[in-house]
Amino acid sequence: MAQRKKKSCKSPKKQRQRHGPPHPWRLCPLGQHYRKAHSQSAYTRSDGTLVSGSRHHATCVDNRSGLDQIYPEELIAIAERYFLTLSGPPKADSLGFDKGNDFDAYIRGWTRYWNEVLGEKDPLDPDLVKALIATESGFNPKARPPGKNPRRARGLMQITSKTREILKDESGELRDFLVNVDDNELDDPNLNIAAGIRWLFRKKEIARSKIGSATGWRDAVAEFKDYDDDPQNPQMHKFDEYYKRLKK
Amino acid sequence: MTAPSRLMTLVSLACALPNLSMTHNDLSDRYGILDNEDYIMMENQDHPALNSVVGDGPSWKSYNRWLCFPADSMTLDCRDHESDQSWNLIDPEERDGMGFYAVMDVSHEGLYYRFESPGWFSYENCHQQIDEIQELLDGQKGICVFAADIPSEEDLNGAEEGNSSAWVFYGIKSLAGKSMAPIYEAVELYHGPL
Repeated sequence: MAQRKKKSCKSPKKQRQRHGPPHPWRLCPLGQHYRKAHSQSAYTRSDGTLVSGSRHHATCVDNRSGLDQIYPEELIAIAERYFLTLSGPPKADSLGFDKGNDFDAYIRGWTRYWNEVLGEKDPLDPDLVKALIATESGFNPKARPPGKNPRRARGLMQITSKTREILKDESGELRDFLVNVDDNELDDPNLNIAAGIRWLFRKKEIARSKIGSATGWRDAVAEFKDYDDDPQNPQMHKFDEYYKRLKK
Repeated sequence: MTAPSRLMTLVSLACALPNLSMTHNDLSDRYGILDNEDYIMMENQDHPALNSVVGDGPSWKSYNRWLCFPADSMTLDCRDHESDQSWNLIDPEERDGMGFYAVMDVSHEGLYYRFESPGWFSYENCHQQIDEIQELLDGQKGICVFAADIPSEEDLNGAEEGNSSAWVFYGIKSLAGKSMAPIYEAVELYHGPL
């Protein structure tokens, strides 16, 4: 609620109509987000009176921005309800890593979700996400680059604090379909992959603005890795190797 | 019906919206804070601010309404969205990457109201919100909150009501100014005859 003055005459109803129908996996109507059931404990105030405790049902809450926002509670609930029954890529090849196949269900589920929500004509391939994770973290959910900066990259897809802030910024570059996670939650493989794939889609938009209509998902990966000026970087060769192996 | 009396009818209807929470005291505006636009905004809600999740227990809806309190009955806080811990109990080095709800607690005539922001924010943004609310409170007698109540299981089961209730707030107003969530800043108001 940063602004005090009315800025425009757009009604929330008009804002909502920009979206298509909600994705069938979402738990709340358009323009609302899911908040899980929670308990308020009874407590005694400093004046000695007892404030009674209560338990509140899960709730669909109007987004304060009018944009589509998804929070960890709903990301977790969607994965639990739908991902175990999905089939298809990524390929069950560990690429030589101990945990190489542990996150396939999340990769499969969130790739499908974002492909359907963002309506990309050239859909993202789950195998490409798996190859990207192999090069970013080696499938280590707690991966951190060296150093002590608490805002450094985290988790399977090495998402930085800065990226996380962009993903949830109501007036930022994403414009819509925001993902609200906090830094600690990026250690959770499910939340990291959900946020990371949303970021990869944004990176494709950025690559397209530089390259034009010929932009492919490899360009988005180069942008994701900040190798857009050096697409022949050895890290990109490694990514190409993994991706080729998954497509065999 | 004259315009003012029709407005009063609308206001009365708004107050009669389904209220699933505990019995409230008189929380109408005794401070002259709210104007016609505020009441019209309440009337113009085309969808509930909160509602039940599909397939999760009984179906319910909750609309925003204005509730007014003495300014000195309210305390402000930022609380971690996971642990509900107050910001001042959290290690400053850990606060940076965490998410905080802006929370307003009200104790009024033996009843306790907890108002939470619709979403959570970084520590800095939460404090910015709290600072804005504090500016609206400073030196004021009354404060009005635009909020929807979250029913408790006791409410829905018809069990005995407690003395506390939980709400999600989308706006706050005093004679010092008004702060609304972006979705309500953008509401198109109908200014024609009522």
